[in-house]
Amino acid sequence: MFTRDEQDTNELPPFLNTWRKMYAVVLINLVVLILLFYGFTLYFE
Amino acid sequence: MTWIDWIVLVGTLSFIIIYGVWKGRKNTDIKDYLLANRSMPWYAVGLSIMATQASAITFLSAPGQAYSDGMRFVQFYFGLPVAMVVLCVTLVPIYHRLKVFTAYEYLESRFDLKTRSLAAFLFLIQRGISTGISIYAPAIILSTILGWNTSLTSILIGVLVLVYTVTGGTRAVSHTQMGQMTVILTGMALAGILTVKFLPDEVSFMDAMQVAGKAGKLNVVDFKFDPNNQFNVWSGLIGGFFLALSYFGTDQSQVGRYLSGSSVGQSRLGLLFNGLIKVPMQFAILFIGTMVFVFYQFTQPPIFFNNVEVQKVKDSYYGAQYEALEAQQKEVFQVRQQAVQSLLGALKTDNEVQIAAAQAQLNNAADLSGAIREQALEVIKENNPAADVNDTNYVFLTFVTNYLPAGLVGLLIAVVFSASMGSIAGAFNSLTSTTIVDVYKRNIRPDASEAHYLTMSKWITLGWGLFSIGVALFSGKVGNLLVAVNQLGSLFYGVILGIFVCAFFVKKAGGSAVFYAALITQMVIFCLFYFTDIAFLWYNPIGCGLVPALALLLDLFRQKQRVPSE
Repeated sequence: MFTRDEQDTNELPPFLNTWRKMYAVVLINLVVLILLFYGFTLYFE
Repeated sequence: MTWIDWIVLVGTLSFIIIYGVWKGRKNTDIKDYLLANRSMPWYAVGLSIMATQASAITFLSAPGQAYSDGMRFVQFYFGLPVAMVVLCVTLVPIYHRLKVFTAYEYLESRFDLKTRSLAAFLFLIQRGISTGISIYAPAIILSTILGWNTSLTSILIGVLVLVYTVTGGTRAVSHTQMGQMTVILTGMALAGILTVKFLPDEVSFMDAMQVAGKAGKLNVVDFKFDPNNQFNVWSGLIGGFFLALSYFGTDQSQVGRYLSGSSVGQSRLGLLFNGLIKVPMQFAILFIGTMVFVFYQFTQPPIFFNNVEVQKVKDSYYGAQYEALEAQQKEVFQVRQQAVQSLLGALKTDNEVQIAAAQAQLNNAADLSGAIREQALEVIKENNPAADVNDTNYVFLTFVTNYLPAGLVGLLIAVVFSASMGSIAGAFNSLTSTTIVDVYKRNIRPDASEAHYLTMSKWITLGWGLFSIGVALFSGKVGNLLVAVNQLGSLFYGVILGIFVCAFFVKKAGGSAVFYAALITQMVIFCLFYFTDIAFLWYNPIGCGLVPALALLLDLFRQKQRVPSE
């Protein structure tokens, strides 16, 4: 049996099944945005 | 403002306040009052985090910043998503497991009471003053542009927030922040669309971007490392990461938001939502500023956007001199318009030589215009040495009030009020949590009843509200308000984060060593601020690194002193 605290800590995210994948999405999103912004800067320079 | 604007403004604000009071009417104890009984879903946590961070200054200053300096300010937020992930992995589960009300409670279990109290004290100073600036900032701008009285506007903003924060606590704050964010995002989106729509018919959206780019306003990313440059990728990623880690991990105004999540997962989702949305949102706000810039390439802008100062100088001995400069500016504007038209023509032919020539012509016109503006600023300063010659904060609202249609002006003023109220409410709430939990309950009345703490929480919220309104009333000129608030935060955040880094990662460090290391580091940061030109974002990693380093040194020194005596 899990306690409420353990259940809380082990709670799965609603999408992608693991928290690691959720974190990866946030970080990949940042990298993609920086690259897009860089392309945007170069294009309109 | 027309009567339609007044109806939109009063209707929007009244609805949000009444909704907040109604939602927060059933508080029974301080867990309810300070943490909404840990019941909020992730989207409420996420919107509440965003609304607390994004003050009115964000929506007034950022477009003005883009107008004058381009879009590079967005890099300031690059460290934020990384910080969100780090917090989700480390602090969020710990805070939930310990069932703390404030971030500083944890420090006593790890170190001692004095270290907890020091961190709480640094937070209260920093947050108390910056909340005053957060009230003053929109008040001074609204007063200048709409002719309202600054002091009365400050009092009005403070009192409106107090109405629902005193009665409803965190539950009222979180629910009103959801409504406020909806108003803000709708208002800003409409303003952005209309700004592009107001461009001349022959200028397409792509043409507008080309003009902004050739004028150096679409300079979003700069990879060149320069510690004295406030905004580049590295200062944003490293300095911004530490600032965000400290702000979201140790500043009670944010910790309180995600501690209200119904579980670790809901709090994490709220933070990750912010990590995904914040950078594109800032980009969009800055982009509106560049479109305002393009708009003013086709419509004569004022030399200086603070009309109150302009009126003062026009009514003075220097009036004729200023009007002569305005006439010169008008002539230069004709030249600039021709240069922009040449640039647009050259861009259509795709001829590199013609584009370069038109760009050079545009840059020359911009230099001439800049030189006239500099002279105008000197005249303003000569007339009134106390005048604030930074008009960044007035650019966007001047555009809104002069060009947007009736109804939308009221909505945009409601955006300013909503943003201001959302961040101020979060701040009042956090000041109350820290005062009641870390000061009153811990040091003054540890054994009182829940009802007593609930009543005291309401009085303390009122007290901090009055204090912040007082700071707002005595706030002087602080230049770019967005930078000022972040600068103030950076003075303290690095040290507070350093204390938490010791708590989590430096097992050897004892309470006294960390306490004295934090005090010394705070002095060092003040010295850096007063005596060097180091960009303020770097105070965060410096403070965060110095506290653990000094704590380890002090611990080592103490151990060496013990050995001979043993």
